[in-house]
Amino acid sequence: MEVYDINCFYGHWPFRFLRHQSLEELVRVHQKSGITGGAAGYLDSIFYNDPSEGDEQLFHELPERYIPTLCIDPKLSMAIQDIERFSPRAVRVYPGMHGYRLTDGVFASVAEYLQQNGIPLLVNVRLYVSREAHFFLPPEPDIADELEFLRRYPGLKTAFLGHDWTELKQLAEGLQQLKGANVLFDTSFVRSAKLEPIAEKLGAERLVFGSCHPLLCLESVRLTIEKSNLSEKEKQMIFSENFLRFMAK
Amino acid sequence: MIIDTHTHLWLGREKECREAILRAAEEYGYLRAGVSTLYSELPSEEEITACNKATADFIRNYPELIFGWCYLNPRHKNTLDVLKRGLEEQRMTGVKLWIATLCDDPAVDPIAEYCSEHHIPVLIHALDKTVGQMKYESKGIHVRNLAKRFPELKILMAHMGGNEYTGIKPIIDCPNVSVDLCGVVHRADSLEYAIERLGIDRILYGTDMVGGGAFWNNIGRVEALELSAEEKAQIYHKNAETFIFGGR
Repeated sequence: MEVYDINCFYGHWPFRFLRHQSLEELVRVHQKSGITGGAAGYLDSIFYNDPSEGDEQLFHELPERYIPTLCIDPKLSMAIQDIERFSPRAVRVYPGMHGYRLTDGVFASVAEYLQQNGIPLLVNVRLYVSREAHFFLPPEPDIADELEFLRRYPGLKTAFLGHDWTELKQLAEGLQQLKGANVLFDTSFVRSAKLEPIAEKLGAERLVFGSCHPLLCLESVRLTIEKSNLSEKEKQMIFSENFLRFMAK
Repeated sequence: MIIDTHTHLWLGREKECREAILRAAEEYGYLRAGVSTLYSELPSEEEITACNKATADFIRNYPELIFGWCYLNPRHKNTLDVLKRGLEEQRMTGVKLWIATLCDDPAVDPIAEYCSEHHIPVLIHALDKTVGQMKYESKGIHVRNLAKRFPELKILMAHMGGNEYTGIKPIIDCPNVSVDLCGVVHRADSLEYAIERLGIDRILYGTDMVGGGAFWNNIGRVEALELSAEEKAQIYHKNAETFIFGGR
């Protein structure tokens, strides 16, 4: 079975030393775990004043089986122009790290542009848990805001990455009112072994494999899916089909 | 082969928890599972009695599989009697300290003294959190204080201290402290960090089930590393055999 990782990175991280932060390590870890490819971001870009400075490297050097994701901070100038310049297959945003909410006016023009042009949006709602933060404490994901965002942009393909088990349950309830939403969720921050109830509530067609490598242990996330009691068909959807459908042009 | 050093029954949900542990034992091929029964943050004497009875019943029904951590509230005057009863009558193996006191509170000293003298391992909950720290929730530094006061006391610091980067540092020079790897977010590098700082022989496997436990999540953290089969066996069961059972 082909396996795609929608939520992987390489690059430096300012809060602790990452032993597997290079592009070579991303490729090695993926190969070791049987991952075909995925949608990769460059960690440094999150922290740059001009994120495109980091993403120029990402778009230049990423192997073909990976989709480079463009880091956008809508509070910085020329965000739309950056999207036009890179013509990315997908855009990645970090509302908690960059200090805005998805429904804030500052993000509206980017969201509208992505929806109009059929560019998928990856939203990293969490890159680490607050209890482990030693000085920069990003806000917790805002579930109500995310649901409102999905209601406003029904035509925008959106993947939320980094929710925990409790948040996914809340989202599943909220999505009862938004059945047509074109949305995926990864399970990178789901620690408990209880993946089956999540798949039952959300539907396996809304789950996607995302590792959050090199910040999280890829093998933990992968094994939690692979060794679950989900059917082989459901696993195939999570590991492969949902990603390919989401990223299809 | 796995020794899960850290599992729980929750009072009021014992049946559900027992079944989950037994299911895991069968599915994952457990050699042994270490159990303590918990309920509230500041348990009364009656609650402690009920918790330890639940653990003892489980041990009695599955003596080959289950070993027990005798849950104590060091604030109680009868705590040493509870401990002796747990070890002598209820076939417990070690002591569990949770969040009734910080583990370096002087109230813990009689327990530490008794356990040092009788080579009884003590499993101490330690969780260093930026948000949500509980009043009597120990951190690595509290474990260090106790370990230094009682250098013969065998301490198993749970959750690698909660935050590996702050929990492990204080106990590096406390050879009487080992850690279990459960109950933390599966951050990349954190287990490597622990192994580099402590040595692989001080890392024990656990899941923290039932509740927050995650079997494959923790297995993944071990399997992701470039370890030999022997080194993995150390984490999965051999270190526990030595640390908890003295090589038995």
